[in-house]
Amino acid sequence: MSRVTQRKVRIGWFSPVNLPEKTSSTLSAYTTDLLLPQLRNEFDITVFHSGFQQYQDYKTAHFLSAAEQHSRDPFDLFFYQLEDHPESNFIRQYCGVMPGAIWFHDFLFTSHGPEPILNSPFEDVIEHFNSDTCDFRERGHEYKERERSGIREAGLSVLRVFSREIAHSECKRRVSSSLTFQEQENRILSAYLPVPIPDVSAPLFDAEDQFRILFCGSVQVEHRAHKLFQAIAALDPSTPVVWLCSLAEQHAAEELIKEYGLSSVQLLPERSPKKWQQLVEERGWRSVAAHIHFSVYGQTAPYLQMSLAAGLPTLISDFGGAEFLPDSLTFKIEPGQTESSQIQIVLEELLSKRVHVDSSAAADFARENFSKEQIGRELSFMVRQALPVLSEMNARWGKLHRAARDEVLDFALSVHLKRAEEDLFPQTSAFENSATNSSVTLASEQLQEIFQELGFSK
Amino acid sequence: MANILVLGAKVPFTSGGQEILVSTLIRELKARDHRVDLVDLPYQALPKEDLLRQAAYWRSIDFTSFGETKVDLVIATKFPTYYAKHPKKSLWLVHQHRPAYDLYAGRYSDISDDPRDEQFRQLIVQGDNKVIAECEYISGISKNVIERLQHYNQIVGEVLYPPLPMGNSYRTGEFQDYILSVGRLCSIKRVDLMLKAMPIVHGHVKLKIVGTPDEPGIMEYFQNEIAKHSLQSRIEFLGRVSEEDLLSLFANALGVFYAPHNEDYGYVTLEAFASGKPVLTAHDSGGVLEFVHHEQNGLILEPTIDAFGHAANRLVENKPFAEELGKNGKAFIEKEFSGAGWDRVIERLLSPLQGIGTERESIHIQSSQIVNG
Repeated sequence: MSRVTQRKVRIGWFSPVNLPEKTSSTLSAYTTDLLLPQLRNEFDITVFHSGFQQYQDYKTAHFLSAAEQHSRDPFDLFFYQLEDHPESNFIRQYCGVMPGAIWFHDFLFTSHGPEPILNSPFEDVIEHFNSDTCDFRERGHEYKERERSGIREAGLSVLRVFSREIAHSECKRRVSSSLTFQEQENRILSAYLPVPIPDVSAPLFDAEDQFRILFCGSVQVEHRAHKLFQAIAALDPSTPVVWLCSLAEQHAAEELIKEYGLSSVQLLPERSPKKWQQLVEERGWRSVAAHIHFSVYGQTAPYLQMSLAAGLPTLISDFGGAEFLPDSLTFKIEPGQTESSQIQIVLEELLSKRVHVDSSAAADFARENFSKEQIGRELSFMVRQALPVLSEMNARWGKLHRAARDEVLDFALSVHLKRAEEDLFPQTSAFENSATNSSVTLASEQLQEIFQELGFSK
Repeated sequence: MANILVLGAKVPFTSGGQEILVSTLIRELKARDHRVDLVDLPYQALPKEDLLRQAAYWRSIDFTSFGETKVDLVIATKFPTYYAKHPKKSLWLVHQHRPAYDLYAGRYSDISDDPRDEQFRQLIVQGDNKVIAECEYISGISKNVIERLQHYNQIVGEVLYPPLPMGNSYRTGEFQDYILSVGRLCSIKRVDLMLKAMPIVHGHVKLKIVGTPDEPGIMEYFQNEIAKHSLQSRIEFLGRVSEEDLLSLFANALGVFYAPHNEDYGYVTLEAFASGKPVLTAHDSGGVLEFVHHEQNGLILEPTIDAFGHAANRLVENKPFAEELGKNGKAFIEKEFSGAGWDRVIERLLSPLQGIGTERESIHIQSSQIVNG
C-alpha cells in the first residue's frame, strides 16, 4: 500500500531579514528569526525580501520574483509583516499587489508609505474585486489624500493579525472597504497576536545586590527618557542606569544624560532584542525595567515582554495597550504633569524594598502569552482558518489581474491605432477611408503579432 | 570592416551619459575602419503602457539590411533598444527600465500597486528576459548594471567599462574654491543634496553645476532653495558647456560632487579622477562605488545635507588632503584605465562577428576584472 504524502501548505513569507553581513533593526526580522524554525515544520516556506542574499537555509528570493514563482507553482498564502520602518516599505507596496495575510506591528504610520502608493487606487481595486461589473478607473485620477494608517493594507488582506490590541481596535474602527467573498459575509479573519519572545530566564540575585534601572527607549520625547532622568536626578543622580540605545542616537543620548547630571549611566549603543535579553537575565543586580513609551506610534515589544518574562519590576505608561496588561504585574505611570514624580515614588519604593514584586507571576504571564511556541501555534491556527478563503481569493485575484493585463495591452495597441488613424491618415473620401482602414488594420495586426512574439499576450 | 548599427534611445532635447557613450563608441568604431551609423529613436516614458509599443516598434524594424547594405551587427545599449531583432546582436547595457527593477517601491519609480502597473511590470520583465537572452554577446557598462541583470533576470554578462570620453585630454589645474557638479538635472542625481548643503560650507566656496534640466519643476525647486538661503551669489548653473570648458572646470575644482541614487556607472567619477580631483559621493550611489574608496580618492558619505556640507568643508580646510585624494584618483585611472581601452571594448562588442557567440554561455561576472583597463 502506498503512502500518500500530504502536500504542505506553501507560504510566501515577506519580511526584512537579518543577514550575517547586515542585521535589521525591524521587529519583522526579529520575529522571522524566532518563528520560522517552528513554522517550517508545518509549512513549505519561501522567504521573500528586498535583497538577493540567501536567508539561512530557507528557500529565499527577491520579492519581485514572487509573481513569476506564483504563476509556475502557486503559493497558498502570501504572509506579510508590516511596520512603520523604511525597511518595510517594499512590503507596504507589495502587499497591495499580491494580497494575503498581514501581521501589523504598526497600524498608524508616520508616513504615507513609498511614493508609488501615494495615489493608490485601492478602493477601486477592492470594488473591482467585489463586483464583476466594475471597470478599472481611467488613468490619471487623483485620489483624495488618505490618513497615515493601514486602511489600504487592511482592506487588501484576507487575514489581519495585530501585535497590539489597540491597533486591532483601530483597524475595526477605521476600515470600511475590504475584499469580500461570496460564500460567507465577514470572512476576513482578524485577531490579536503579540510579538513572541524566546525563553528568558529570571536572573538570580540577592537582596544585597545593587539596584539598577534598565532602559531601552529612544531619545525621542515619546520614550520619556527626560521624565525618567528627571525622576532619577531627584531620587539620586548616582543611581546606576543602563541605557540600551541605537548607535545613531548615541551622541544625543550622551547630551541628555549630561543635561540631567546623572553620573552612573552606562550607555550601550547596540540596541537589539538579543542585547536586552542579556541585560534582563544578568545576575548580580536588582534590576528594574522602564518601558514608559507614550505615543500612538511604535511599541515596546519585544523588550517589555522580555522584562516581564525575566520577572523584573517593570514601569509602563498607563496609555494605549497598557489596559491589556494586568495591574498587578506592572507599575503604570500616568503620563502628564506628575509623571516624573510618580516614577520617582515607584523607584524609591523599589529601592527601599518596601514593595514586593511577585516576579514569578509576571514571568508566568509572559510565558503563557508571548512564548514563541505559543505564538507560533496561534499563527499556524490562524493561517489554517484562512485557507478556505484563500483559494477563492487567489482565483478571483487572478481574474482581476488578467483583466488588468488585457487593459494594458489594449491601451498600448489603441495608442498606436489612434495615432495611425488621426495623425497619419486623415479621412477624406470613402475610397481613401477604405484604404486607410485596411492599412490601420494591417498595422494593428502586425503590432499584435509582435506582442504575441514577445509574450505580451492576453 | 563591418557594417554596424549602434542603437540608441533618446529623450529629445536632453543629453547625458548615454549620448556620450554612443557618440564615442561610433567615433572609435569608425577610427577602426568600420562602417557605422546610429539609429536613435525618440524615447517617451509616459504613458507607461506606451513603452510596450516602443519596445514592439524596435522589434518591428528589419535591421538586417537597408537598401543594398547588409547590416553585419547591431549594438544595443539601453531599454528599449535591445528589443531590436538581428541575427548578430551585441548588448552593451547602459540600463533597463529601472522603475520595474531596482527602483521599484521607491521615490524614483512610477509603478504603483494598480493591477495594470503590476501587469505592465511583468510584461517588461518577461520581454527583457526574452530579448536580452537572444543577444550573441551580453555586457554592461558596470558591475552594478551586470549584477542587476543577473539578479532580476538571471542573465549573465560581462563588465565592460566605457573608457573616458575625452581620452587623454584631462589635466590637473589648481584647487580653486568651488565644488563641481556635472550631470543631468533630475531628482535621481540628487544635486539638491549639495545645493542644500552650501549654507554649511564656508561662505567663499561656490557650487558650479554643469547640466540641463530634464524633469519638470526641478529648476523651480532649486531656485526656491537658493532663494530660501540667499545663495544666489554662490550657485552657478552653467548649463551645457564645451568640451574645453568642461576640462577646465574639472581641472580647477576643489572637488567633484557626484552622489546619484544607485547610479549605473558614472563617467563623472572617472573624469574627476583623470583631472586629479576627489569625488564626494554617497554610500548608496551604486556604480560610483566601484571606483571611489573612502578617504583614498574620495569621500563616501551618508546621503544627507549635513554630511556633504561637512565633507566639503574638510576639503576647503585641508587642501593638501584634497590634493592627496585627487592624486590617488589620478593614479587609479593611470593604472586601471590606460592601456587596451577601446581596443578591448570593441573587440568584445564585435565578438559575434567572429562566430564566437557561444562564448556567452560561459561568460561569468568578472567582478574584479576591469575589462577595458
